[in-house]
Amino acid sequence: MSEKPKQKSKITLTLAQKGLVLVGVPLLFELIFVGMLATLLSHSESEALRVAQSRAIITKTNTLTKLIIEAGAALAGYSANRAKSYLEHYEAAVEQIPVEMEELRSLSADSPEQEERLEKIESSVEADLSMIKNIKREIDAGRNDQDPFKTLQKFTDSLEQELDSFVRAERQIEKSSPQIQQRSKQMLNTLLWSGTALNVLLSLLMANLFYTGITGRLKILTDNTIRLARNESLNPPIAGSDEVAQLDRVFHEMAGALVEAARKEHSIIENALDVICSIDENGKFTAVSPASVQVFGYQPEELIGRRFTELILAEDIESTLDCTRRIMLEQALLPFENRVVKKDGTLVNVLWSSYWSNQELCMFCVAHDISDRKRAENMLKESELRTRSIIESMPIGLVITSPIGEIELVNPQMEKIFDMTKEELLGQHLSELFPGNEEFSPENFKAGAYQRLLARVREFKAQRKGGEIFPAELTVIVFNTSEGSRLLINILDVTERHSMERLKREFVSTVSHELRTPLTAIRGSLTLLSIGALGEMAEQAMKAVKIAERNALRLVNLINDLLDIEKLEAGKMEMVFEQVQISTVFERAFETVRPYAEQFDIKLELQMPEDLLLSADCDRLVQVMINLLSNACKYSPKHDTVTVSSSKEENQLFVSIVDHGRGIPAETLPKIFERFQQVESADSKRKGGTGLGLAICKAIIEQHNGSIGASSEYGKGSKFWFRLPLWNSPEAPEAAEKLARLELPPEFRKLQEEIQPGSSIETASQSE
Amino acid sequence: MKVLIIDDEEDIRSIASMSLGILGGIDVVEAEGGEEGISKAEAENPDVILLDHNMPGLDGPATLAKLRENSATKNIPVIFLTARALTSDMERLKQMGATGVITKPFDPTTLATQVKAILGVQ
Repeated sequence: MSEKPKQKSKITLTLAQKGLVLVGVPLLFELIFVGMLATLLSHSESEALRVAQSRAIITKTNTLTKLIIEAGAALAGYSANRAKSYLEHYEAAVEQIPVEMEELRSLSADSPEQEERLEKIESSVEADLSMIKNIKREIDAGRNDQDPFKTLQKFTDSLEQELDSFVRAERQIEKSSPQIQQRSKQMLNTLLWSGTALNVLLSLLMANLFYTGITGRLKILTDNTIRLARNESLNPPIAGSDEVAQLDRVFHEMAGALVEAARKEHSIIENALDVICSIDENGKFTAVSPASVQVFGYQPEELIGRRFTELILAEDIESTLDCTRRIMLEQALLPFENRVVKKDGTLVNVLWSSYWSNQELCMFCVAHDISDRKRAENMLKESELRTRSIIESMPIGLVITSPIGEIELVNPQMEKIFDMTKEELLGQHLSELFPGNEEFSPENFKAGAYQRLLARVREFKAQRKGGEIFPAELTVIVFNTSEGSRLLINILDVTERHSMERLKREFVSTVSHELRTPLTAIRGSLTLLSIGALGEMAEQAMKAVKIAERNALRLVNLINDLLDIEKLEAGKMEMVFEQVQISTVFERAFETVRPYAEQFDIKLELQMPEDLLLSADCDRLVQVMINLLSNACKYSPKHDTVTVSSSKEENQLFVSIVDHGRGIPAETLPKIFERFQQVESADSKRKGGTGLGLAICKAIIEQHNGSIGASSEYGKGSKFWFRLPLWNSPEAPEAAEKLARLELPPEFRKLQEEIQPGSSIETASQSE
Repeated sequence: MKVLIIDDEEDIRSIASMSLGILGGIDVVEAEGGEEGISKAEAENPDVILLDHNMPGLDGPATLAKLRENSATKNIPVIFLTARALTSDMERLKQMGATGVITKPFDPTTLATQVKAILGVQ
């Protein structure tokens, strides 16, 4: 641009204000100019008027003078001959004098310089007039005297002089007037010329102001626009605070923002992980971002000018070209995937986002390396396939439901279990598979009560399509998905297991019962022999009979324990809960175990600070105590003491049985309450236990809602303990109101008590 | 005191007989089934009957029912000898009119005492 920016001008006016100046200043000037002209003209005019007035005053003064003289003269004539004509002259003059005087006054009203003189004249005229009138009266009175006329003459002369000086003063004014008028004319001329010149000057000034203040600045703006378009640096900001300067400032800011945006864009392109490139209509790279090194293995310079199909894996070229054709035709942003051969020969999966610009005749592309994603996708697919095949081939039914229990997904095993197709199962509510069970009701699910089903294996009655009810074992797990929580339910049809268990139980039961009869005979015979009821025997024979009897007893114990444990585990062990004093349990157990303890020379000790009430099956508790006590005795060293302690812990009874035997190794301790677990495998032979005693104790205690455990230091002794809820505790098992046994005759009850512990002494599983 | 033992197992009858007879000094009559037991009960009028639970033909409970129907035998105390020792079984037998239950295998040394105890005699 040719114009140089004018920075010096310190204009702080807005455009509106400038407009006001441009219009207002010349207007003001014109007004002043016209005002001055008018003043001058009016001045000139008043000068002319003043001259005319002076003339009138002079005339009027002369008339006045003439009248005074006439009055004097007429009076003198009258005084001389009393002629009527004099008197008429006199009277006319005297009458006219005040009139003329009044007219003179009104003519001289605007002339302050003559004021003083006029006042003097006025009083002199009045004095003169009164003097004349006095003389007239004197004459009329007949006092004809010459003296008054002399006085009057003098007086009139003085008045004439006064009037004369008045006239002279007026004549002076009249005389000076043409000069004043001349000066005014000159001034008018000067004013006209200088005014015109100033007007021209002012117009030039305004034009300049308009240029520098508006047009010039607008040109800078226009220039800036062109510079911005050409990507050249802008002119320095326009000074001032008017709209143009503001617009320029905004324009500079906008240009700055554009530069920053361009810089950012450039930096994004330069630093992008994706390759950003343009490809011309011949398929050749015209620009490539530096990411090509990372993604394709090529420097951007190596790619520019090359056909982009050269990079594509041969078998992907056709589909790629199809896509680019579509992009060009449809003018749309269509993503497509292909494989690119990197410089080092390896393959990379690329997702292209491309757009064809008809204006620039090239395709703008962003190439994103999706190799990792592809790998992850493939892995996910494989993993999904694996999981799917596992789920589908699993012998367990799998169901996924919504949090309110509606089936969303099932595996094939579910179809088999429920004899329904997948379509029939999907959308059903779980309650339809487990009819009549409140826990599966939709209301229950809606209330979130499925929580109770979580994290434990439980058995429910389920229904097949045909209506057949079967036992099913359920595990419910809750898991979160993007669509909220879901329930995963494993369903195992346990019909077969149930029948197997039943068969096993029946088998054990039958075998046990069938064994009992011959064993009764064997044991009976041997006992009768061993006590000598059937006669004396040789010592060796007796020894053999005792061995046979002892072993028969072991068999009896084993069968009793087996039956007990089967009953306990099948839930068939019938417990008769009643109010029991723990002292009674201890007494009965001690009584039973004492002979056995004496065999081993063991002392039994009881520490019971207070007697406590329980809700318990007394016989079964005695059985537990006998078992634990006999175990303790069996494993204690000779002459030792086994201590039983009971105490109250909150609303529970705590009982411990402590011995100082060999103890239990730490690795065995956790399994001690399992079936057929003994400290040493030789124990069952050496100590004569069945390995079931503690399992039975555990089952009995648990049926009392209690807990049982053991602690031990190997080599130093063991402590077995159990806890039971007290009679009034909410956890205590409900005691039966009417107990069958209570209705039995007392002797029967007593007998029963004798029978049960009797066998229990021996059943007390020697299974520490 | 006279005891009638009804059991299909001869060995059990023998052991029980010996146990009661030799150790308890009790007279024992044996019957090997329900029918025979009922007729022996009528004929012998025992003080107590030891009745096996499981027997071919007329089993223990059926025999007990018949004994209770029979005016000649209805007042004879009956003690069951059974391998089934469930409380519910005992309850059921008691309701059917049994005086007591002794579980198998019984201890031959105390059988007589048990029987006497149930009957409340010394």
